[in-house]
Amino acid sequence: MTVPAVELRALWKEFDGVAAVRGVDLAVSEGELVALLGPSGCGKTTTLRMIAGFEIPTRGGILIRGRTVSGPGQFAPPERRDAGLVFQNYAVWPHMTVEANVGYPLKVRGVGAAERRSRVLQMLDLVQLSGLGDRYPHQLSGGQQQRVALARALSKEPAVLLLDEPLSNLDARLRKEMRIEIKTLQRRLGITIVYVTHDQEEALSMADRIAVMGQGVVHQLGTPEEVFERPADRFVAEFMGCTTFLPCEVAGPNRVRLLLGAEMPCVFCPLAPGAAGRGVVGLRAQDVRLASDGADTLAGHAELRTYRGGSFEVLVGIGGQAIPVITDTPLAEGSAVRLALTRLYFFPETRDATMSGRANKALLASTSASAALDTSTANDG
Amino acid sequence: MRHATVSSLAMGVPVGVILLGAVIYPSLVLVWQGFSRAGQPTLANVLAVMGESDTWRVLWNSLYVSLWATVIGGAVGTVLAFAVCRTNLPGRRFFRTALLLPYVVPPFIGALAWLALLGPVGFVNQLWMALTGDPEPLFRIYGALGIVLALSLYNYPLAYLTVLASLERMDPALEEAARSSGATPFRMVRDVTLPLVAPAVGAGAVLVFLSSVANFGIPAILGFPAKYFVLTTKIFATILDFDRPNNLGLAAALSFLLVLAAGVAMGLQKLSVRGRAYGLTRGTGQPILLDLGRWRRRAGILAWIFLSVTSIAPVLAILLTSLTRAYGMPFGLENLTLRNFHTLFFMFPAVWRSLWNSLILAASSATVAILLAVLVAYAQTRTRMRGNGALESLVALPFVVPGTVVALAMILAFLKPVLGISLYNTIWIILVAYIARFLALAVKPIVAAFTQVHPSLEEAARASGATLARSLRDVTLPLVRPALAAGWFLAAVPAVTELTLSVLLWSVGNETVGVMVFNMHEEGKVLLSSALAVVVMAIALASNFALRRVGDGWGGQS
Repeated sequence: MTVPAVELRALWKEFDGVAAVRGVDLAVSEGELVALLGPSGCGKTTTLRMIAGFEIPTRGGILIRGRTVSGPGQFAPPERRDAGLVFQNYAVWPHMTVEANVGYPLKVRGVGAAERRSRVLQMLDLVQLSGLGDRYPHQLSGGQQQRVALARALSKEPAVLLLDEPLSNLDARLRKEMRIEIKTLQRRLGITIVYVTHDQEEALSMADRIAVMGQGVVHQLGTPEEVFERPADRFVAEFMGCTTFLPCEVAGPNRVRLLLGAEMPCVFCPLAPGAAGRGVVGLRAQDVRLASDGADTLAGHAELRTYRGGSFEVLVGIGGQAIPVITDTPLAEGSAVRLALTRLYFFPETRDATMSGRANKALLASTSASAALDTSTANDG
Repeated sequence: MRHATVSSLAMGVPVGVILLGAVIYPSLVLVWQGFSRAGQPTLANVLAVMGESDTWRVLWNSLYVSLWATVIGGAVGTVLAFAVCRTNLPGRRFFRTALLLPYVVPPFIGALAWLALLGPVGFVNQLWMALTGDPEPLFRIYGALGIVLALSLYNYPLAYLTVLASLERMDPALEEAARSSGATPFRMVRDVTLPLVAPAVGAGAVLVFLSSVANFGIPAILGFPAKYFVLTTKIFATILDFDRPNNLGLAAALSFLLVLAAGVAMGLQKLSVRGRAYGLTRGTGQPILLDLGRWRRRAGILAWIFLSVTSIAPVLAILLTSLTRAYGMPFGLENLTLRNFHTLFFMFPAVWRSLWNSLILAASSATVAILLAVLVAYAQTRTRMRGNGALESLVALPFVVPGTVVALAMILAFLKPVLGISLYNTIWIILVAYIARFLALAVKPIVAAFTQVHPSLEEAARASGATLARSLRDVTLPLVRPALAAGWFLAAVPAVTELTLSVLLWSVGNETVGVMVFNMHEEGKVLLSSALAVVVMAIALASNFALRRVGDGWGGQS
């Protein structure tokens, strides 16, 4: 077992008695990109700032390459941590040239001018800013400033690179471009990255593993495929694009009976293998199809049709529920339709979201291996 | 667009008339009087002033005391802003506000307070002479030293506020990035924080200089007894030197020098920040506080000593003076009396009259100022009127130009009846001067508020069927109302305790309370002037407190 690049142990942070992070455990391997994904206020940025050394944990510990930087009675200030940080708003110093910005960590460390210069040029080359070393930040675009921030954080060759929503201030096109660039850099240099984002698409496309956070706890930790295809709980499912939730009850192993009428196969969330009783199934619009007839389908009426360029989104009313379906067929509003739900995720009823979050975490540890439960039934009904 | 034309005319006319009468006309007359004699253009005044060796000594005095005040006030303000905003100084929240106290006390009152503490018969010198038997006083407050001291301590809050604003606006991520790059806290301050606030330090220092060079009350009270003149007091003396031929023309020529000194300072400041205005973005979160460690307690004690010596001691000294039976009497409970206040309020009807005059002048000039300010703000934020830039300059001019110069311009403009109306020797000339002087203060928050109310809100009212006037009444005014209150107080508060303008424009029966204190002091009625100064100080504190309350309500709205 090699030493993780970053390790969080039961990390806990309270602000004036209010818990922002409540017991996060995470081990990031060397060369891995782990995304902390969650809505605002979920504790992801606080977690990142604790790793960087800008917040002191209330409890728990942080190790960087096996060295404790935060722990009971121990605290290394930011400048003595082997971590580079890229801020959401770049935080490029306006009074320094690009070269001075990127070279600053080396200068502070006492690296000589000649060597510093060659390293900076190398860094600028890496982030495709060659030749802009003499510019001042206000002469650069937002995307270029972001690259300066990236080069500055990388120039001291940190054990871990911490990125705090680095792309959220860029426009959509640049964001896509930078995603690929950061990913390429990470692969090429083998850098370890902890990446905070609220954008699920960003996390899915870039991360090796995603930690989905909500209300200060990690709801699920897994590869993008795992998190997307087997969401651990309703919170994760909602974050992963499930927009419709239908009440149901368990009908048998991997089968549920919708209260709307039909019985169909589904994927059980890891918390509920072989569970009984009531719950909800979550589904994505892309997993709903028009069906001609047959068992395991739902009958309803097309209520509202909107054109989305090449296809239609039709809201189908079934027993007071509106289920969206995407189809090429120009269904007339009011016409009778049948829907087949191709992939459902079952979540047992819970009272308290935080309870489920904590319970899931405990359970995830034990069941992650046995998670191969029923991928067969998950595909197509 | 007939409606728009009619209404912009209706709004433009009052603004035009008042700005013409209170700003443009007096400025032109001032310039004309400086460059003419007996209606003929000539350089005689300017040459006479420049040929006098006294002029150069006075200019040197002005620059000397102002530059020292700039260095001291700028340094003190910067250090204090840093201590309050970036260290874990004990009680930093309290000090953040308390350190503004010296600026709340009107400068001439402050000078009187310093006199009570450090003057020839002030408490410190009395104590010194009593303890050591030394017949010579320890401090000689009259002259350059005392003026520099009083100017520095009155004006450091300008530098303090400017640097504080810059520090508080700075994105904490900029400093965090330095720490994350491996910089120690000290290194971070040196490499990132200080360079980033440097423009604010410069701007704050220029404000201190401008305020110092334009100040009248302090060099008048601490300079006259030592025959130490600066430009403002020299202009004052020249205006009152009725026996001298062409005294007003000479004063006008002298005032050009004063405006020049202020203008050069502003120009230098603009030059120095060119290309360095970073437009620091406001960040989120708290900045890193420097841990003072074992120096924390000592720093706290030092801050208390500073506050006590600069704000509390002089105030206590003048309060005690106002309560003593006879000036120069040793301090003792048996020598305390309220008799001075009794005399003040029951034997000098002029005192009541002056208080009343000041309140009426402040209230009416502030009211006219906000009415004008609404029109100016509307023009600036809602129309693309040609001349909006000129309008802005016209509003700012009487506030930027030293008050003594404004007063001189008023005298020259209204000495003779204008259009058959005689303002000179009436209270109206003071009112006109106050409106011109304090209009800029009222305009600022109101323009800010209009900027915050997006025009689409008015347009939505228009689209709902409201007329322009109705949309202003129903939508815009309610939204900017807190700013109107703030603007009114901002203009009224300094007017209540004003001295520089009224000391040149007053006439018998039309004294302001500032003039009353000043004249009593000049006549040697030390106990009475101290007592009235205490009253003025109480008014200043109370009205600033009210301003803060109103300002908080306004600030919390955005």
